[in-house]
Amino acid sequence: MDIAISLPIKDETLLPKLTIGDKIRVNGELFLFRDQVHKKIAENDTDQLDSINFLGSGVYYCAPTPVKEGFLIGSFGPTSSYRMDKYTEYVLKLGFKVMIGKGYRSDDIALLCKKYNAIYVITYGGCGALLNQYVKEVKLLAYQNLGTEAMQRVLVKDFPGYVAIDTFGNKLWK
Amino acid sequence: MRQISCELFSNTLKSLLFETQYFIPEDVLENIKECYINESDSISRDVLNNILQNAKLSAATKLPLCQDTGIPQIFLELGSYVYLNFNLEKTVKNVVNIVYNEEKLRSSCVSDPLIRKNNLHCYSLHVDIVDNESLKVSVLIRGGGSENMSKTEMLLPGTTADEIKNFIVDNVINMLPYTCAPVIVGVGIGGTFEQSSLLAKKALLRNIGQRNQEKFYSMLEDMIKQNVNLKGCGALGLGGRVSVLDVFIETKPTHIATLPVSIVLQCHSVRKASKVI
Repeated sequence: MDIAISLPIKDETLLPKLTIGDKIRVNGELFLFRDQVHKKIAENDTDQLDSINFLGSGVYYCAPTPVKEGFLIGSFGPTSSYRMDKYTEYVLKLGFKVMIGKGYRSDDIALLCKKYNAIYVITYGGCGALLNQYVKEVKLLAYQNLGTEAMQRVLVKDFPGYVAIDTFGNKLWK
Repeated sequence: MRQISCELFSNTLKSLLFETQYFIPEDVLENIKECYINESDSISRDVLNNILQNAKLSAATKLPLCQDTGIPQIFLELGSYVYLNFNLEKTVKNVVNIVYNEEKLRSSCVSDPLIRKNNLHCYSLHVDIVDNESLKVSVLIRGGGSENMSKTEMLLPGTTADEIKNFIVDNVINMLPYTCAPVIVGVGIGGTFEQSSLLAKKALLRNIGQRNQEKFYSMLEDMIKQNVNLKGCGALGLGGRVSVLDVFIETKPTHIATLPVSIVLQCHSVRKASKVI
């Protein structure tokens, strides 16, 4: 049975109930950003983010393709998460609780998930056309000059993923 | 001499660039279907099913298979008796820009590797001169995630086949959890430093099941595939029966003092196509 998760997370006891290998369905708000915005957050170049509340939020490491006619967003697959590892604590300090991407991450991330009561979720890498279907609304938020790497806010319904690191720091990889 | 026009070349390249973004080659698709049927691990099975659904959706909707529409890597086999009466480099650049803009494919390149301003479409172009009167155009679309999972090492000439096998198996296993597995492994052995990596790339253009013509290397291909799959990394590295769809080795003569070995992993979203003009 898939477990439905609503973002932002309001109840702190919810995430610790999840364990590695659980299949979840994300509903609600996801913030899209990756390498360049992570770097800006780590360097405290965040004036554009001042009015945004990230408490309990989810980040999806994704830089979609440009929008084609008849769609809300382009191809919507995840990028490799390990490149965000060195910036991740700065992002968690903003209040993020759910990180979605693809692929292996360093042991530091397991420690950070424990420390910040956060989880790392893997979704279907290389399946951008499929993941597009779960998007219901899109809004450009900040760092527009970064092109495809700009920060966007996306509302999703039943967006799929597997818990790969849980709040106890367990990792799914064998 | 046979003349190939700019129009014929451009149209061929255009259709290959279009096709690769929305259609997984039949040989790869069939192989993934087979993996799905035989998989017993529930996560791997679910992932493989979604990979197949993604291929169907992309073909139907013309949303790119992957959001990383990559760098098109273009390999030409140009016959010595073919005359091109146009500027090849300019034409390739022009066609790549047209297709990427028209199809709304992602601009995934930065004009400077350190300043990193995201603003253009890139490509790479490799031309081999061959002894015929035709032009073979091959396109391989490589995303950054796949490209990062590449390695070239200058091994010592005394390295045994068994040591090379272990070197490849270990490296593939280390890189797998970062990739969109199941992957195809391209290997280049011999040549010079840059030739070995080109060999590994070109190896990826082979069809699934197509073995190296030398028995020795075809056995090595099978052994590497078997050894890696026995580790049980599975789809997306989350556990399962198949993490490697196939292994392709290409070789070249090399210097008495060197033994370059290159490994390139290709994610399941295999975007490749060829056409002979």
